[in-house]
Amino acid sequence: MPVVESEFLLALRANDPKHKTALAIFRKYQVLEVCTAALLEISWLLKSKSRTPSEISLALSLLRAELESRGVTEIPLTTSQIARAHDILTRHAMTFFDALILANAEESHDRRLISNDSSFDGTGTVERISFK
Amino acid sequence: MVWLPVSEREFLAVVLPSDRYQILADLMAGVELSAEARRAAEISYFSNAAKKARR
Repeated sequence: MPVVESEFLLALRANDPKHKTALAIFRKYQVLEVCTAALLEISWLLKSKSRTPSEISLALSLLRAELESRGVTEIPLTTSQIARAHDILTRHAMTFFDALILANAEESHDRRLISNDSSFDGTGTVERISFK
Repeated sequence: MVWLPVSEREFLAVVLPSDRYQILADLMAGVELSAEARRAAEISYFSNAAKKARR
């Protein structure tokens, strides 16, 4: 079962250019996993846009409700993944959250990551499936 | 979305599944995943963490 990350979560917005593609991915794969690290990144992106704690909490609750209703399971974030994310940063040019998402996705069932972020290429641990 | 009063100062937001995508669009308006936006989010995260560590 492939894994989704931050870009897919943002595509759940009604007006997002990739919204229809995101819904098609739900239909195509039936069973998906989501990186908890991606939800953490979304919360910090919202915080950096000065959203209130209540707004961030509501957005995360809505994302969780949508993912649960689609049978998408979360890959829990662990201490070893956080440590591995820092190791990844020593070897690859990517943001901290990308490294955390990668460490998180490496513990998915089949290590296929649905993402348009080419910084995951060349890491050698996950296969990236792009969506446009 | 329906707001139900829970107490004098608290409300429970009830969202119909059909409204989720539009409310997510409103709540996450302007959020993007450009390299600059991601860096800004990380700087916000780490500067807040650093402030907390200095206390």
